[in-house]
Amino acid sequence: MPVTTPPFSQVAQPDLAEQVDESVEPQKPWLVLVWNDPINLMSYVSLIFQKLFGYSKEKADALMMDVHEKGRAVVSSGTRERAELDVFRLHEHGLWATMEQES
Amino acid sequence: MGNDGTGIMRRRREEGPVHRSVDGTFSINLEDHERHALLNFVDQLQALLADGPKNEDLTRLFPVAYNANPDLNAEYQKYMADELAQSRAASIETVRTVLSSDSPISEQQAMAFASVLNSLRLVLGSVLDVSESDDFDQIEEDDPQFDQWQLYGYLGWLLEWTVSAISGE
Repeated sequence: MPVTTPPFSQVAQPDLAEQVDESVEPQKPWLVLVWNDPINLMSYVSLIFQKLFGYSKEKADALMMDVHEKGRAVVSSGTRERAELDVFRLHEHGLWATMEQES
Repeated sequence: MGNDGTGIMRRRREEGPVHRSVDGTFSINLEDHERHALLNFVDQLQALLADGPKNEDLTRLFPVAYNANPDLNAEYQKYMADELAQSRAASIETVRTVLSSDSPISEQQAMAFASVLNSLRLVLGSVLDVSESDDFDQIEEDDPQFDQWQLYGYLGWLLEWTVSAISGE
């Protein structure tokens, strides 16, 4: 009787499924928030959004108005490392930024 | 036919203290006494920054990153607080160079100028406990913090012009 390898589906699939679960299941993104404060100038905040994120003036102004009127706005999102970098750059420019994982 | 200064004042009103040239460089038109005063404030800012986040007036310069998670925030601050301080120190050095000469400056230098003016406002605004309803035109001359309010207003004026020059408005 020839030695046969078991069908692919019997051995490989559970492993593969496990790997898929661990490595590919999307992580919830991290959100970078900017909070309203009474000191930063509106024009300055909009300029920083344009310079740091490459946003158009229209988009940066709209985000800035969101921060101003709603108290905070999500200005970028992504991996935790990416969000930490964005928070750092916002802090460098004196904006009040925090990050949290999307719930 | 001497220069009585009205030409300078008129140009300053028209162009503002910060002007973008056609070649993309920026010029800062400030009187010598303004430059000296600003350099003095920048020195004070640098001395304050040496205290780090412990100083209450500097809370706005060292914000919390993870406001919902103190452990992650402690970890973040462990690595990033020093880097933030170094970045501020570098901007301050750039601004010293900018204020020490009349030479045209690059956009990067103009951004450092804006960022340091903003840092000064954040410290002063924290000392004054500024709120959105404050109207500093209404501060009376006998207010013990009148001079600080004047300075806060001046820094805002200069920053507004710097931002508008960088934005190309």
